[in-house]
Amino acid sequence: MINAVIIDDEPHCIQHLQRLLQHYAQDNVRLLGTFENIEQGIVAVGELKPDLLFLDIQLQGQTGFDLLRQLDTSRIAIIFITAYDQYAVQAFRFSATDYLLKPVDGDDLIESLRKVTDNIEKKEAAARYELLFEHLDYPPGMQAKIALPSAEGWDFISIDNIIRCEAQGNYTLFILREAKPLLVSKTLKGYEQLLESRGFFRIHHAHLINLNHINKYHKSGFVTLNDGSSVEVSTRRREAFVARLTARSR
Amino acid sequence: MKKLTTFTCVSMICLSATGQTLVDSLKNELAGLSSADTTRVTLLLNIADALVWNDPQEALTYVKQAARLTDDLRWQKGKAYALRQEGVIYYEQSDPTRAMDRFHDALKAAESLQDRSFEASIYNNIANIYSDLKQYDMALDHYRRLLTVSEALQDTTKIIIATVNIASVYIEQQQLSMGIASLNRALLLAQYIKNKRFEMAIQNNLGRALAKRGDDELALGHFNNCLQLAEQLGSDGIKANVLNSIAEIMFNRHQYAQAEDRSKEALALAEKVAALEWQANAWQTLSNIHERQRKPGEALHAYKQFIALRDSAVNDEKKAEITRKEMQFALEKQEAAAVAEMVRQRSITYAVIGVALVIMGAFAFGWRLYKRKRDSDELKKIAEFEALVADTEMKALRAQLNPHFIFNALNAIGNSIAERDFDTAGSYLTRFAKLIRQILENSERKEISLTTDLELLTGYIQLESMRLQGKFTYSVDVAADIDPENTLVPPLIMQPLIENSIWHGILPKEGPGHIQIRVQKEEESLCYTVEDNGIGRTNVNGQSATAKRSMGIALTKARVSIAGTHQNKPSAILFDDLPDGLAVTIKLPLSLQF
Repeated sequence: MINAVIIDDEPHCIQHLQRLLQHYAQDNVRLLGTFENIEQGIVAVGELKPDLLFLDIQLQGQTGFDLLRQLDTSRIAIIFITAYDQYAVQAFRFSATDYLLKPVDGDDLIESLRKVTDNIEKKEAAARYELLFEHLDYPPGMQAKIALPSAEGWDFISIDNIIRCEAQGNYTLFILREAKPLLVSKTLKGYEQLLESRGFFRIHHAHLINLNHINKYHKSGFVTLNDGSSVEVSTRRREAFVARLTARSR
Repeated sequence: MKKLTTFTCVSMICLSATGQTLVDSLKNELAGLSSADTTRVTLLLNIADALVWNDPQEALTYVKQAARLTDDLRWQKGKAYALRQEGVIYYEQSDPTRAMDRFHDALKAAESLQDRSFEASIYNNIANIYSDLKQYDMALDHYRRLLTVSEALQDTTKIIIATVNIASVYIEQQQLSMGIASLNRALLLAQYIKNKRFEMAIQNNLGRALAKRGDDELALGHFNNCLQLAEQLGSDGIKANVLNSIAEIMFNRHQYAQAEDRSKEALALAEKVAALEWQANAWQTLSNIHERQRKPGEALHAYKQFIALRDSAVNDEKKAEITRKEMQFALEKQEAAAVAEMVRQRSITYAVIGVALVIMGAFAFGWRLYKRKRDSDELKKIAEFEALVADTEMKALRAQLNPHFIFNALNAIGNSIAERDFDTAGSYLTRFAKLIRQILENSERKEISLTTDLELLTGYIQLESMRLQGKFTYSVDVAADIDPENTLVPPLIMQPLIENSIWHGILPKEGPGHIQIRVQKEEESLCYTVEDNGIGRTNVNGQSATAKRSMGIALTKARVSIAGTHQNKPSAILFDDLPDGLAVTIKLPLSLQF
């Protein structure tokens, strides 16, 4: 049984989530209480010691992150809830933090609860929240890391150290600088969406490369990267690729 | 600088001014000779030499006689001397081309004679021509040959002539110090051999060179020496010349009274020898002096005299200049003849290249203008196109978030709640929220994958299907040869068409309808079709139905056209009226991600 707490400043959202929990997770989630501001929330978390916290991001002029900064996250799983905040969503995805979008969909809720049950949510939580803050506090382009799921938990990889990513079926192989390659059980497409704003470019169906690691572009259609590897640029991507390179060099 | 070159003239006058008496006595001597031998030749040449200044034409006949005689006698030395004499006559007649020819012939004829003194004299003649033509390097070269030979022969007279002429060339070229040094050397030699005419000429030249350099004191000394010598030799022309030079120096020192005296003396002497130029010079100096003395009337008078005389003098000078030009032209023409063909060929080549360059230049210029115009037009077109794109994209977004659709959806949710069908309401709500989110995320993109687009479309269709509670069914059919992940389409470009099919095709129809979405490949085009079995366009209510339909379609047409323009390939929107319903196909350039 998971003991949960909801912190959200809008009662109808709380009620909606309550209904969903009742409907989909009556057997494995016990709701200990719901709270409408950060102060109450901190006190409640301290006293009730829940296993799981549903945390709204917009909280009466403050944010759920302000609360997170004051919590000992080693013993509590957190699922963020937001209506529409692309910036925060990006940060969640970089730090592999779980989140739900309002209005919360039942299927999405079930998937999130499964992660909590499997204890995925708690693994390396402190480090992932630290990474989350890093992405929230600094504008894109600063030295930042990305949390990649591994068999044991999470690997935190500096984005600068990613030379390229290669699609291998539903897996993605990360080729890194001065480290062993990492195989991650997510599709390349997801990482493309995440990393394209960080100086990455999909040059091929199977290749996403870090433009900072390009050594040479051969007009015959392949790039040589800093680790010496050569990767093909697919014919259809060449024009856009060259445009992107020249735009960067300006 | 003409004045300094007068030395050669002056010296020649000196040397040949032995007068008519000499000619007469020589002619008498000739008449007394009956033999046709070398003595006769020498005599003929001497007569010619004496006649050069007074009657060059007659001199020429004597020379020609001498030349014929030397040919008959096969007397090489006589021939060489005759050629040189002919050259001298032509030179005095201002025909340097022929003169040069004769001098060179004479050199050739003298080759076997080993007469170095003769050769040296010809070097001087040749050098004089070069000097007249202002080809100073060649002139110096030949004067130096004269000097070298003369030094070897210890012929002081010729050494002096060579040295003075070298000095003249230096001074012409503004190398005053070199010229003055040479003149000083010549002066010593002239004094050594006590040649007073030479000394007089050298003193004058030295004075002028020093005055030119600004050494007035030294210049005056030399002018005064010259004056004394001219006095002794009775040379009034030189006196006039020197007196005017002295007057100029006095004038420059503001000693106007002395300057005036000297000028007047110079004028009197110049008038006596009828030398126009020297008279003009004297009047000019006088005019300047009177001006400074504040005697405007006299200054004006002097100036008028100066102008009048100068014009006639200048005429002479002009003639001399024209002659010089003609000389140069003639000589160049002769030289040019040898290389004429080559030059002609070269000029043709240059001309062709030149014309080609001009044409190319004009073409390049024209091209640049054209290109600039074209580029600006292009930029304008691009800007206009970009504006159109932005505008259309915005409208497209608003069309997808059609208020009708939004409020109908909300109404449907509200209705479900009112009927206490909370499951349907919740499901409808989350689907609606997901769709709106996906539309917001993907509308910003120019192209999305067919997979994503079909997800969005089915999301939309499902909502409408739910709202209309089983009024229609739908199916999606993607051809097997299409990889939906790798195929790109403009986001939700079909949505207005599907909306039209539901609202204006299916809804007015009695009974359930069906909407089919098909994606097919046709060569390099992607055919995106929505087909309904609704009332079609030609229904009795057609007027209003068509009008409503056309609203969403205008926007879709614009987007389809933009998609085509982006890829520079054809795009189209095709309507196919079916017996039962309508099929609308959007034909897009096939766009693959990889």
